[in-house]
Amino acid sequence: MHFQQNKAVHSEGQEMLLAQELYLKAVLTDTLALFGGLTVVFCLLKFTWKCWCGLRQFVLSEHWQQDLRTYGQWADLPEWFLLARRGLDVVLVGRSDVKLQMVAKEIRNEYGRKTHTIQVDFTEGGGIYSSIAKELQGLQIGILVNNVGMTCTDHFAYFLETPDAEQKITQIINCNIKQTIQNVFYIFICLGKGLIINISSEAGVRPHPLLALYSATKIFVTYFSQCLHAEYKSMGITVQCVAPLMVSTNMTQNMQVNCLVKSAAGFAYKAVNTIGHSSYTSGCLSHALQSAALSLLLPDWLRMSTFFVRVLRNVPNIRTYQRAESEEKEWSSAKKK
Amino acid sequence: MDLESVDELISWAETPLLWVGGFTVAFLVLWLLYRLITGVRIWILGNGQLLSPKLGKWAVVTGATDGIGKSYAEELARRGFAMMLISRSQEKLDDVARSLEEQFKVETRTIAVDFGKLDIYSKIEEGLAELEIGVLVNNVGVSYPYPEYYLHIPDLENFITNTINVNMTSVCQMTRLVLPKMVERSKGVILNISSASGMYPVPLLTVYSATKAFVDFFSRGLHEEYRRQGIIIQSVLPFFVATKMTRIRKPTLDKPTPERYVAAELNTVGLQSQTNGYFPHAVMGWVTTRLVPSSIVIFLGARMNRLQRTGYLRRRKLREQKNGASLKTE
Repeated sequence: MHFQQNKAVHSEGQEMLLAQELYLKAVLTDTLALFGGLTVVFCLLKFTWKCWCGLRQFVLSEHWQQDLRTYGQWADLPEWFLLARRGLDVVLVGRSDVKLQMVAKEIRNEYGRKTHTIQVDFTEGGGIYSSIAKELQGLQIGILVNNVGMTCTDHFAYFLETPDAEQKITQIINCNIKQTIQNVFYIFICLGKGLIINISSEAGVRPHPLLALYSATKIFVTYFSQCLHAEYKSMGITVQCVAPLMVSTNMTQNMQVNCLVKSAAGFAYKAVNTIGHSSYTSGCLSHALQSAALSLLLPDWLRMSTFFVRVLRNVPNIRTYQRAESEEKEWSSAKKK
Repeated sequence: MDLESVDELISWAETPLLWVGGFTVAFLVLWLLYRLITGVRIWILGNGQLLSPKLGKWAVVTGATDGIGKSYAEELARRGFAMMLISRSQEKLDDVARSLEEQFKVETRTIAVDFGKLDIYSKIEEGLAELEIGVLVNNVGVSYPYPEYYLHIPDLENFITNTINVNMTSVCQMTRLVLPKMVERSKGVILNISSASGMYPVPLLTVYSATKAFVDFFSRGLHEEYRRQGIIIQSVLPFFVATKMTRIRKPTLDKPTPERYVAAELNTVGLQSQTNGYFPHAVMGWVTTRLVPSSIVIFLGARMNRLQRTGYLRRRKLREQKNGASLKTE
């Protein structure tokens, strides 16, 4: 009897332990499941928000186009002329007077807008800004596009391989940076409204070996734009930073246009649509997707690895091969004729 | 929707959510362990005797007469480097050089140049010509006298030129002068002093923050280019340090003296290519870049600077009024 009683108590004790175990297990699984649920909800919200921003910037913006004339009558831009299509008169600033006159004539004929050209070399720095200010006097500038830029070399190269380094460093800083921030000063000191578009680059999102100086100048432009936007958005001045990936221009040796590389005109059209919808944008949907893919698929440890650096360094060989191939084709087709 | 189908949905979703939750927890635990181990390695074990004259006989420090630069000069002299000091005032340079020679018995040389100008680099090149340089500290920098809106900065054009020349161009040109010989010997350390304001845009310190971001990116990109050739290039991002430039007079745990800061920072060389240098600063750096979203950091930074600006302008007005009143009584 005593033995049976003990057994009963013992099995009761075991039952209690089992029940406690099951209870703990249930609590643990419930908490984990809840935690998992919260994580999923959080990720979904983040993803949805990003999709909405992208949708607004790149798709809806075509239909909800901002009236750019609310910013002012004249737009000052070194290269693009799409703002003319949206009803603004244009001041063109650049290095080659011949090219400036060509573009100005095109704008006058095609869009019927007034134009004004200013010829400067931005790599000089210093005294050019007072002369620009003088020429811009009397014009009610509403939009400024800071687009002038240059790279150290025409291919990926180590910093010490930069030819004529002392001059090049000063030139690239003058060109990419000083012109951006000094133009702002002269033009907006009196106006209570305006739009500034600063062209940065995807290279300014993370530091790039073999493009160290260029990517550093571009992060400067990005930070400068974001700071200015925070300082002046309550005073009616919008500052937008555009960070494109590959666009086919003189600086990129007029690469072939495909779904990843945009033509200058095509990119400008898309980018102008994002005005008013975003203060930091990649400019077009393709570039935004590429940027997201790069941050996902090319994390820091891979991008900065020996393997990747070596691959990048050998890229010019690929491009010269392509160029040689296309030249050969041209020559053989000319021969056939 | 009736309760039964909701119940069904929840029980169907429970198992995959359980796995998601489990994986996330496991991931967080592993991450915490990893941070703990690297933290111990960096902040407690340090880099040992990495920074010694074995790298090269000379150490070059720019902006070596005040603040962090002076502390770097003292610490490197203590470790046995011969010191080349480059700064603006010859008098101050001579003072610092003399005190280093007396205290640490090392050879010193000085070059007095104004980093706000661009034509100084041939003079510096001559001065560095035969030196075997093991360490270069690009420390020279200028900041805002007080946080101010961009267009209201007094004498803006010269301010821009000066800030860019001192904070950015000096780093690029000094690296250009010193790096080739380091690459030949396959050893060398370059420390580029950036700032925590280079980690995210800081409104009302616009130009300063942007120049410091430039230095940070330039250093990190360059580090990856030359790491395999034996060169260490480190980007140093301090928060507040009690120096003349920050006008902080009383040091605290999170606003250390420059000596304490430099002693901590030199231990991270070789272990981190981008460092805040000092453990409390590293915690602050992690919180402001990983934990808090950047738009909130920018907003709070703007607010803090706006308050500082108002405070400074008010105090200046009071000072001027007091001076005006005292002149009247005279």
